[in-house]
Amino acid sequence: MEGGKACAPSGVFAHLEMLEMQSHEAAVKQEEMEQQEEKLARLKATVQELRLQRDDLQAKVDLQQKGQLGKEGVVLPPAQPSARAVLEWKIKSLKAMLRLFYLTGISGKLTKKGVCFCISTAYEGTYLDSYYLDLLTEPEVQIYRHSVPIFIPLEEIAKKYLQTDIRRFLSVLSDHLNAYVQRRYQADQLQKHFSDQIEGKLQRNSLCDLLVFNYNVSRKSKTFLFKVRLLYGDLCCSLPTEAVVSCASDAPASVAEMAAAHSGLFRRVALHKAFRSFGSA
Amino acid sequence: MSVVQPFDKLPIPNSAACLLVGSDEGLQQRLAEALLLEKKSFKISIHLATSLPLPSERDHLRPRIDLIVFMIDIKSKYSLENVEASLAYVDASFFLGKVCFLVTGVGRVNSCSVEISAVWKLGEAYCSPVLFCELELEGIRVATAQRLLRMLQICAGHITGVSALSFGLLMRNSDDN
Amino acid sequence: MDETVVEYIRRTVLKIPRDKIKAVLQEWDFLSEKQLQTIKFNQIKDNISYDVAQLCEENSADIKQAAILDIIYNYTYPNKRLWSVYQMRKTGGGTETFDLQVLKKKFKRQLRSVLKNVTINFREYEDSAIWIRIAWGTPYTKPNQYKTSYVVYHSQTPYVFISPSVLKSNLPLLCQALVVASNYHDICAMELRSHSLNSLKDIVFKTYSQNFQTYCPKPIQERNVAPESEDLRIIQENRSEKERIKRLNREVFGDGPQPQLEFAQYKLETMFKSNPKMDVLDKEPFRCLVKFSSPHLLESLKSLAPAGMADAALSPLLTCIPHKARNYFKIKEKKAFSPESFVTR
Repeated sequence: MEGGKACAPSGVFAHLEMLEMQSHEAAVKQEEMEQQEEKLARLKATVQELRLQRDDLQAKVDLQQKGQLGKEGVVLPPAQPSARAVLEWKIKSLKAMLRLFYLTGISGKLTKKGVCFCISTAYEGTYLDSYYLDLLTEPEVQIYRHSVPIFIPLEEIAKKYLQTDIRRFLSVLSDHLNAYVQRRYQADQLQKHFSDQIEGKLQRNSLCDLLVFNYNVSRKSKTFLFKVRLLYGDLCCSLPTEAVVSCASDAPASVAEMAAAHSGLFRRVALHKAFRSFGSA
Repeated sequence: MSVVQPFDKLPIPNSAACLLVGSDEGLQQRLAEALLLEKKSFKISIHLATSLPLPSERDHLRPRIDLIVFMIDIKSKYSLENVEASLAYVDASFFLGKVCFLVTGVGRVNSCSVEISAVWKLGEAYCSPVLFCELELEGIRVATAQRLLRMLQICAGHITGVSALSFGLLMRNSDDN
Repeated sequence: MDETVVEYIRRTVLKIPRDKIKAVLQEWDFLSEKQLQTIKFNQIKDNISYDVAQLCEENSADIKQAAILDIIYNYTYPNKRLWSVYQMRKTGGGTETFDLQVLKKKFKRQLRSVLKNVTINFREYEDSAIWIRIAWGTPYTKPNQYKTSYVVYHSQTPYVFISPSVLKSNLPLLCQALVVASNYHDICAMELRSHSLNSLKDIVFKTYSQNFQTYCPKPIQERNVAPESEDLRIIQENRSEKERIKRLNREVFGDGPQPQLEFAQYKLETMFKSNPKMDVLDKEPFRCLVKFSSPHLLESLKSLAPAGMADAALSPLLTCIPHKARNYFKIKEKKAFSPESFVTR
């Protein structure tokens, strides 16, 4: 062995060590091969089993189809499903129903100590954030933990309705959350799609109930800067209650008129839609 | 609370079962894989447990255990306490050569939180050999796996002329020197 | 032209990692694109800083510009400072619309009325946060630009994140100005501190990963897939136990990443109770302080049970940290009247 000769000068022990290592390596390789073979056999057996199962099922389907084609009139006595199967089916459909509830925006699940509500928000057919409320029911209804943003007046709403009318509580909270998420969504859309028209920064606060920004309007190859201040006085609403659009005092009358028109538009139409309409006009 | 028995079941021909008890699952898993890699002439099954007693609902599935290896991590005092607590659930006749303590993390003097003397004492009290190793190093892990496999072979009675008891005594004698 | 301003800018530039200097300067928007192009960003940081200083001198930078650069630096690397959370309270209810300009004006006026020599700078960020930088002086000395306080305030929230200056004596002044400016009546420290500003925000704004039980379909995660390498010859004896631990852990910590905290401190103050005959002094409470520290404390707590280093369902004292929003605790004796208040505020 050439490798052996090369190592010989460094001593008998080194040589022995090397031989041992080689034998170990070979042994490991052999073990691996054996394992591989065993695994292969096992997998083959599984394949065989699955094939048999498939053939079985195929045969059953064939038989059923033949039966339906052949004797349309004769009603085979349907196999009576067992009571257990019926029960399982019922549970399954109920669970699916419960899962569906989140589409309504408010869904809940009983927990060990109370109930956990999930309020899902949406805007224009898009699902946005979900917020959670974990309530304890003993000794009285109280909020154990939640993920509602801090600037939503949860405490106030809870004080008003939590003990007396939980439905009302949830619906008011849901209104607040939806309106907040919708305002935020509009502002985000504006920044995302119309940043080229906006001059400077869009200023907003956490609750998104005050938006201040400037935007450029071009008219007759001249651009004018409009200053906007949108105030959302109704926190359960996604449209502003007050929209002030102003332009420079030296701008022509037609531009001032346009600003007034924009102001009306902002009060009626969602922010990003209003901007889209400027683009098309 | 079932105690692990060495002779409560009939042995399965040409196979051996080894039980690793230790709180560090990652190391345990790696040692088990190293054991599987080695060439062996019998069927092996390796049972991993974080502590004893073993859950009784699996009693009927478990073969006869031939060797119990208690793994102690020198970096974790908890691992030693865990082993000490688990020892109560081992039948006394296991200690006739079918138990060993495997101390890992040796050589990391800086992060040592288990006293070696405590481990020695444990080995002495339970008449069982203490092996030192560092399972993080591949070479040592392989060597440890080979050593454990050899012990397992003896404990399972695959080697004619050497019983677990005689092997245990042999190890003890060498310890006393 | 103020020499100290240029020197301050130069030192701030030195703090920025070299490959990020350009981005920060661009955000600063004080040097023109043309000027930026003249700087060689691949030379050593010292030389870059001198180049920047030279250009700033040409543009005759003032302290305001320098302060803005410092804010940008701190905003980009908030983990360099230690932040603590303060909560403000109001006696009457009612939310009013928040106007940033009003807050700025009031804050400045309030602070200036007490101390003339302060530098106050604001910078608003997209996430409706306002960053305030305050450099403090004394009635007779100019503000020290190197020992600044930072305040991060999210509008319409009762929380402020303060990274105090080394000059501790100014903290009450700062708190007072904040309360006045934001229309609150009271402010107090929340005993929650960390270097990671974002994690503190996650905790107090409740956006950290909490485990809520719902029927809502969650995106399927691949955590249940058993590793392929699992060999049939390895048998896990404690599988069901492990699953229990996993479930308990999920109930406590949720699925997502944990907020990053570096320490939690528990101060024990209990009386020694003994047999009256033994006549051991029992007037003085036992004092004991336990501090857990880790680069990422909550993640390490989370992995304790799965790693087999602690029993599952850790003590609520450890797991209540994000829920209670504090990492400094004082543990007193249970009062007979309120059995649940093992942790007092």
